[in-house]
Amino acid sequence: MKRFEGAVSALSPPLRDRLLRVKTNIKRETYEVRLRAGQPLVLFGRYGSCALLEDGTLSDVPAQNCVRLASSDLQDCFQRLCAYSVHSFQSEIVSGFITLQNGHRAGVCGTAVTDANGKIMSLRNVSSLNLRIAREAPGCALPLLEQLKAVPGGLLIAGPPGGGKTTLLRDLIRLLAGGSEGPAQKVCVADARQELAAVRDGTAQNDVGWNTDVLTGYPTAAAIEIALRTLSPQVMVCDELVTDDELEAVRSGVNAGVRFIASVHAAGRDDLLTRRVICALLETEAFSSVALLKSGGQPGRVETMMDAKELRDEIYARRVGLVF
Amino acid sequence: MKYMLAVSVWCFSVLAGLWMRRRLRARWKTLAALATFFETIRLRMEYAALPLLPLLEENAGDLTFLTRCCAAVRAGESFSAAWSAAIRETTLPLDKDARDDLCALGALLGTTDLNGQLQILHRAGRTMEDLAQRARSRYEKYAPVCNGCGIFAGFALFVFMT
Repeated sequence: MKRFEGAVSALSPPLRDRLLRVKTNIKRETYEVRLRAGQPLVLFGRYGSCALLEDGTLSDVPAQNCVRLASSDLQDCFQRLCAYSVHSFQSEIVSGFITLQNGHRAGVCGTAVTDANGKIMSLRNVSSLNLRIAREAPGCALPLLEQLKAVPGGLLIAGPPGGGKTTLLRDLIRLLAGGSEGPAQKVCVADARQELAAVRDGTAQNDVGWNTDVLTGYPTAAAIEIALRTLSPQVMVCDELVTDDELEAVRSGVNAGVRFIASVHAAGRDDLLTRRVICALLETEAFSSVALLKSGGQPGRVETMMDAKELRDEIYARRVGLVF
Repeated sequence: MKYMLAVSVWCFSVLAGLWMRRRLRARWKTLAALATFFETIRLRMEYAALPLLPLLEENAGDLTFLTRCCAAVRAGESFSAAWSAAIRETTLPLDKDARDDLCALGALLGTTDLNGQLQILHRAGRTMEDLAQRARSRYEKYAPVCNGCGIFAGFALFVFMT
């Protein structure tokens, strides 16, 4: 409930007051607050998508007395979310979000302003905002940590979108750098999309332990290179490795003796064996185990743990034509 | 009694002359401080795209309306409203032109990308510099007269009353 109140406190006072009047059980079960110009204010949660009514209750269909947002309300909220400093959030806005206090995020939707090459430069006419209430799952990585202790080497977390890869990574960072489960390790986080630590004004809004250095907004490959050169990490954490540059950076990190924990998109075992970047990542020998996450249900739930060497052998066997 | 009153009026006239001189100087100095302020925050913004409110607070100095504006924003008021109110209520010796320019600036600060902000601040700095230059000319033109006028007017009143 406090998370809901913390998130909506970033909105304009009239809107905030309306949202604070919502019943406690609704606050607890709400994941998103959706603001659209000229449309009803929508809350999304365990109960689905519902419009907020003037009396603080929810309705499945927008009624006469639902709370509607004028374009000026939306602009005011946008300015507030940016702390009246749009220029400070320029790169985040271009990426489609704003990081708020306590790790909440606001997705920003509007008309893109592009340059001659089609690159997005900025945004005008903000048409909707999606305030996503941050939820942490402390302790969800404990089983995985036991596995990490038993097997030396890196860990690759694979799962479908929404499977809880980032939640799991965040908890793993907290446990490793917090020292609550064994000696605290020096952890470096390459947080290109600002989802792991959610740094705002130089302070991590999510709990990532006390022995963590966060490289915010750097391209992952550059972050790995800088961390290796200057921060001497014991563990390097990266979210969603996809490019060849990142692959090369991981390779050089392995040669420097750093333990990698990273995540990749993969719907299942077949994806792990067929996707080029994942195969190449496994071939770097940076990872000794692979955790495949379950889709849906509880975030960060590991479906199977796999030995990276076995996967490598299978990839090799497929490549030379031993398996069809 | 009559003489004492006449002496008081004379002293008052002299002080009024001094006050006018000080006021002209204060106007010039305030506008110069504003020009420096805008140039400073422009440079600091250019260096690291720093957010507006901490920049205003850190560099406010004697420009107390900035601190008041930031406090109102932190209390929940919108920036442009807080900015305009702070300028309206400030006791700084600013003339109407300067106040109008500053009020118009409030609607633009923090609302655009970095390039836009840098241009806005550069322009604001230039405007304040021009106003400061004008205020300086006025000071240099009228300040020497103010003292003399005060003394002379006071003497005239003294003669008239006695």
